[in-house]
Amino acid sequence: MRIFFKLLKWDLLLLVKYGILPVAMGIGALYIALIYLFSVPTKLVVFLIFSDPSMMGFVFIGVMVLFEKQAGTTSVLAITPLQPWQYLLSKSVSLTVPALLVSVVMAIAARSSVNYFLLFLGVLLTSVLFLLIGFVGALRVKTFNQYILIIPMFLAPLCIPLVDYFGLWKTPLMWVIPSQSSLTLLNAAFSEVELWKTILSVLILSISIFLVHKWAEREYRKRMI
Amino acid sequence: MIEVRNLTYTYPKSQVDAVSNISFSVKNGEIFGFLGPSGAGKSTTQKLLIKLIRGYSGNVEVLSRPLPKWNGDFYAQIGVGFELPNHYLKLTGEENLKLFASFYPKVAHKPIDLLKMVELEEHANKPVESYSKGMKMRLNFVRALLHDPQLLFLDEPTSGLDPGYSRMIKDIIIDLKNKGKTIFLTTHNMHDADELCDRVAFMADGELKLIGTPRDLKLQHGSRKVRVEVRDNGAIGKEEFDFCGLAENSAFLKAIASPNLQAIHSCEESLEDVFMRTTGKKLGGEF
Repeated sequence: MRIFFKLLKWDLLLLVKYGILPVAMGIGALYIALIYLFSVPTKLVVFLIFSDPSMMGFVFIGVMVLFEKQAGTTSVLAITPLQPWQYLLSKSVSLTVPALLVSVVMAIAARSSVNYFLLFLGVLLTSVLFLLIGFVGALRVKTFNQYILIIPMFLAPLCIPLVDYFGLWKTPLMWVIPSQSSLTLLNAAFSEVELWKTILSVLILSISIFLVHKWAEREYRKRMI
Repeated sequence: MIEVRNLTYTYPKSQVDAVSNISFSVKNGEIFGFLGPSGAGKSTTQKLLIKLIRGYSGNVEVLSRPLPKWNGDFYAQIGVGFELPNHYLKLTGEENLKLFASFYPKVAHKPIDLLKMVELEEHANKPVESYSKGMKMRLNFVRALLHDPQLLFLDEPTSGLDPGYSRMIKDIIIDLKNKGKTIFLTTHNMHDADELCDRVAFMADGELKLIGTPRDLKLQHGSRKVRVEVRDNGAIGKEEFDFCGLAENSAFLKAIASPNLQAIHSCEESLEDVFMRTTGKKLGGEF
């Protein structure tokens, strides 16, 4: 764990130096101001928390990994005693902590009753899942332009449950897509949701993270060079 | 230190072996030069030896252990200097070294001491993006020394350096050898190889063509002759004499007794000549 904590410190510094953290906080501040000033309905607040702090990690980790790839530092990391799980955990934590902070302030700005435990859990699991998917995506491309092109390929399927969330087409099939669990869990932080759905969401997200983490570790060994 | 037997590797989707049935060993404490032009299979071999690519056939032992039996601690035992600079450009030189130092269980050198070693201490607090290529290469080189590894893999360590800094890096490499380190040097620079290496191996088309000490290779493959240059009415006359019977060769004795004697050379081949004769290929690169 000593290596992980040291890497985490460096990852946070790099997020600042590459301008990723200021951009993430800036976008977060914009959403917070929007929610506070226009009394945005709870349904939309959940959507905003899902789409910004949770999902944006996908974009930010992509930018960070591509900066590293272009500088060639991924090859150097691959020949140090650093383990893939330490790298992935550090990236996940360094980008999830700001997401959690922004989400909590967004929830406060909404001025509605919030179950902060469920909010915390929802953002944490969603953010980590999207970060890991973003990592795998970023390893498969060489440039930022290519990454922008693949973003819809990865994110579009994960946005399908929004159709269910906004009541346009409700079907139990949505549970196949892990982001259905994200929306359910985040919604549970603000509204009444059946307990079984909350538990099922946590289970689905945890299993999804486990599987995507395995995929990311394999990709790390294969493509970090 | 390194034992390679019948190593073969083919890249996925390729029909041609990048490395084809090569065998060699590197002894403890020696500088072993791996020479060849671009695409010869040098870098692929190095990547196989440092476990950056897998899926080879043959047997490879590094640091007296079969390569597949090494796990994460392998990288705490070896140091790798890359051919191209690869740093966090937004971080300073010292921050870069501190970042990578944090991954090793034991760090032998303070980052600032390593920067001093390659005259970068004045730039320690500047972001690496402001460094010249030569400065980045020097930073590359000392990063491999952070944890004082027993075995070093250096890929073109003097590439992009001016003669002064190239000399500095070569002196450090010689010093490392004197301290008992083993160095696997990949290069296409025959002058560096000739000067630094105890033994060299020639690679071409994925095959290992020849191994030996630079001196033996030059002598074995060169002609055993001596060339004498004598000035004669303003022009330089060159004459070659066979080593055999040189002490009794009256023409040779007359030439070296001449008051107009200009130079005497042995006609051994350069390492580059030997390479070209052995592999039928030219080397690219800087001389």
